[in-house]
Amino acid sequence: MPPHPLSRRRFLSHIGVGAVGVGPLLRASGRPPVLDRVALGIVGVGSLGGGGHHLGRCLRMNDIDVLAVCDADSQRVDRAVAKTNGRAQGYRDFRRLLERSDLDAVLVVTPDHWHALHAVHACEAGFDVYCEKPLSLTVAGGREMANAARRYGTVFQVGTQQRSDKRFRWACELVRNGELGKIREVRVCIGRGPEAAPMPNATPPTQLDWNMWLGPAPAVPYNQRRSHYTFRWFWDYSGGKMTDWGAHHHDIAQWALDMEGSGPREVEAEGVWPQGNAYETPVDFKVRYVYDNGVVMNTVSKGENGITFVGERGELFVSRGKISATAKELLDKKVGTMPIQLYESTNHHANFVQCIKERRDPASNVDAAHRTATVCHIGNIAMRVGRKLSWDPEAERFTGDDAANRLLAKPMRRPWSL
Amino acid sequence: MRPLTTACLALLALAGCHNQLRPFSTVEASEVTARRAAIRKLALTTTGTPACLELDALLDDAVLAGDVLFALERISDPEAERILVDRLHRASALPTSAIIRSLGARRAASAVPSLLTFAGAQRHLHAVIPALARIGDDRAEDVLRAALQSDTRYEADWLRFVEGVARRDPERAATLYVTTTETARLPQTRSAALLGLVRVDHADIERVALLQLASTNVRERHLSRALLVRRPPSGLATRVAARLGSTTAPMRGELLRLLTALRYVGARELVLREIQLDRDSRPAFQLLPSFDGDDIAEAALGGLRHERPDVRRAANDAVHQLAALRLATDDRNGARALVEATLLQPASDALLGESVDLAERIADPVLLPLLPTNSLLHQRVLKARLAIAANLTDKASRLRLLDEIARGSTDRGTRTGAIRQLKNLGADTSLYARAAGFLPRWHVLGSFPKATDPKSFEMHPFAAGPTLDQPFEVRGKPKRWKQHETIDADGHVDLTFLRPNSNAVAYAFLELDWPRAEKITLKVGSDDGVALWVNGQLAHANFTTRGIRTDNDTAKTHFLKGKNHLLVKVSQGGGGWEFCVRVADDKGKPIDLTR
Repeated sequence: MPPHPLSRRRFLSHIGVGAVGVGPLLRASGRPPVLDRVALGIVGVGSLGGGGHHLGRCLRMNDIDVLAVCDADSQRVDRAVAKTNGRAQGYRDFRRLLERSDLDAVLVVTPDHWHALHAVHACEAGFDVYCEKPLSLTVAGGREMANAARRYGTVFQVGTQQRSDKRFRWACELVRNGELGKIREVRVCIGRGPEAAPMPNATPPTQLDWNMWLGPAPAVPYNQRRSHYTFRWFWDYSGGKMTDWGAHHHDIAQWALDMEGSGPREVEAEGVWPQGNAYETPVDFKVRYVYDNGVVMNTVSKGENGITFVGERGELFVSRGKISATAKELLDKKVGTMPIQLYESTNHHANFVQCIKERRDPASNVDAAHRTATVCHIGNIAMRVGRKLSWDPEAERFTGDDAANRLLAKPMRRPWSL
Repeated sequence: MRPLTTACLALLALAGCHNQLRPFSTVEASEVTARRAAIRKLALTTTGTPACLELDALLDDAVLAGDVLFALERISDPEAERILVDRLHRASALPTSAIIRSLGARRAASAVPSLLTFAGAQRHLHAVIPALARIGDDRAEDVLRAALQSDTRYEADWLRFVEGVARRDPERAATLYVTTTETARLPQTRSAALLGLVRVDHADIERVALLQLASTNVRERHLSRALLVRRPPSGLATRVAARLGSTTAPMRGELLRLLTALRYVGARELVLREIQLDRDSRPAFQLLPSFDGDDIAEAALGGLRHERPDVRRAANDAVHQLAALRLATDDRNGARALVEATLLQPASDALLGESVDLAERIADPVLLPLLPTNSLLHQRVLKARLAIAANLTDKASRLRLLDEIARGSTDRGTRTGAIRQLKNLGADTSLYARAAGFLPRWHVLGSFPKATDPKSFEMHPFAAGPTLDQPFEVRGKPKRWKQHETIDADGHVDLTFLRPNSNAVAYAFLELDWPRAEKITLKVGSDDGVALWVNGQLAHANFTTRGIRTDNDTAKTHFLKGKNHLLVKVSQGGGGWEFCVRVADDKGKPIDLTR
């Protein structure tokens, strides 16, 4: 596609609409927002960032220009640059990408241990941010990101794209509108963690800058198991299934329960770590959360992937591609027809771009995503310390448990810091 | 045994004694990694002065000092903070800046005097300033203010500091925010300061925001306008309209944008007047789509003939937006009239591309002969032609056009769209995928429970080969192989119609007649994992989680003369579930299967 002469920055310089809070005004007047283009940089172009989910989708969208890509793996950079037909400039160091003045937004699609650094620095550089889920590696890191986004007025979308899936919104609206009666329990099934035989440490592939890949994480020798994709099963870089799939389904549970600005009060958990597994995160687990209103959320590894809301009038199950209820009439009311209607988005990337143009909060805003990530993290912490914990969502601390509180943040290897 | 090991063992034993820790088997190992892991574990459990002192001793060890620093950073015990502050002025294996950052991370108020001393001596400023900003002590204000004025990289730290002040003293913070809007050099800092003023509800917002509206930075202007629109002070629009006549051209454009966004009643006439006077009418053209009416469309079309290229582009853009708005209200004829004008008189190649895209959305056959032959736009033109083809009434012309698109497009979506239309018209469509070597017709069976490991994934339950006419037990129920033909141009076979379609596997089978025995390359794409058997032999297996790409994997195999059996197994976690197979020669060149 040939370059458009009008970047968003130039466009915004002369357009009088599309400011914070203007979006609703425009919709109220029945007028769609004015066309525009957004120039993007993508940090992390592996299988997710450089594949169909992000880069491919962005290249297919008419109002996005991908002008910069960055990765610690030069092979991935080259591949991504080639996909843009050479339009994007490739970088190995994200700091060089953030120095560009012609970008409007940055997609952060790196391993979780990098999210806080990449996102906060992107906010500080004046860019809008789309950050993959889970939002953070730690509760403290998530809080830093949410604060930075609010400080700079950043449009901050998080990659919990189930919010842009009609079925999940429908399920949440049914719950919020009391169609199931009072909710007693939420069952969240997110699948088992993987197992694999350990691999010996090795020399990093020549194309991979291993020190940069590790970044703020502790220095360790290269091991293929720790690297691309399977990083998510190591505590230094991620939180296992609890943050991988938990980030999606807990988000829906919190949305349905109207707990986006808060969280559970109690958490207890048990995990199973099989002997000889190369990965650190548990393979099987059960986590029990209790909310202020008495709702219990049970997160388990076994069972059909999805979320079940158990109410007085029946049960509602929702997953990707499926919604069902114990009684047919529970599904009589359709999405968007009930008194309480939730944020409508049908395409996560398009919603992000639209919000940049209109300067409003996107479907998965950073505050809600931080609360969701927190639910995942405190579940993991309860599993690791092996006792029942009392959580204070306002202070974002455990009550009376110093050892558990120490797991809410992780020091960063120098020179990285926030 | 090295002294360090002894120290570590002592430390660990001590910690075990004080905290009822399980003994670590790793402690006995002398490798540094094991000791590091032990220290990290201690960081999560240690309390008390003796344990902190033991950690302090290890700060002199160059290998472990970093790990110990992390441990001390996490320990809430006051002794840990005292050690770090003490270490600021004592030699250790760690750089001073690393200790300063640790103190900042734990918001160590007791470190402020030391940090101010460093700042006074201009030492380690790159660590001291962020640390002071994090700690948020009022004593650091002067140092941080000086840093704000000296170096743009400290502006983020200054904002963090002021945010802390705002929590304690909003009025004081308001003063600091106003100072920031006047002092900071980075536009994002000035914008953030304006946002800060809004948060502390300061009366000066209008003055500051209007000042920022004159900024040379787009984002700053955008944000200040947004804030004024969100919280317009009483009488703002009237005051802004009054300023219009006595201001510079760029600022006049900004004020017009603000008035438009504020939905000022006179904004429409002011914009049209600006175009009539043609002083610097580019902003006015850009604002035209904010209004309705034939005179607005006429003004935009008039701009297509303007002598200045930038104004022509703005007018062209406005015409596009007006066309899109008409489309959104189902006024296709109105949209078509506008797009016809821009196709005939484009302001640039890029905008011509947008006209083509709009033509695709309008899909009116009248636009077909107007589409450009520009080779750069060829694929977009084919997409537009595809959309228009659906509205052609003459079947022969439609078939011809669709055939041309199915053969000429390099975009899979466009080709698939053309093939779908051709199939609806009764044409034989399998040849399009087959011409590129893809196999579009399969027998499918599933879904079975998901394989759990690579080994079981490389096995299948059809020992004597699939028997297509016999039912097969799937999840305890007899099921038959289903014939399935995909219309996808790249032969992508979607399996999500099988139930359940998560955590499952499915099989696809076909029999292929081949004219001679020869070496063959099979290119396989899959979402998620895939295994492939050729004539009963495993030719390829990739037990993975991924999205499909045409030709994800390559398998070298050989075909027999006559009948060849291909069996494919595809695994599924969640979401998309599909596969594709392409036949290529020994060198990887796709074979035209229609021959």
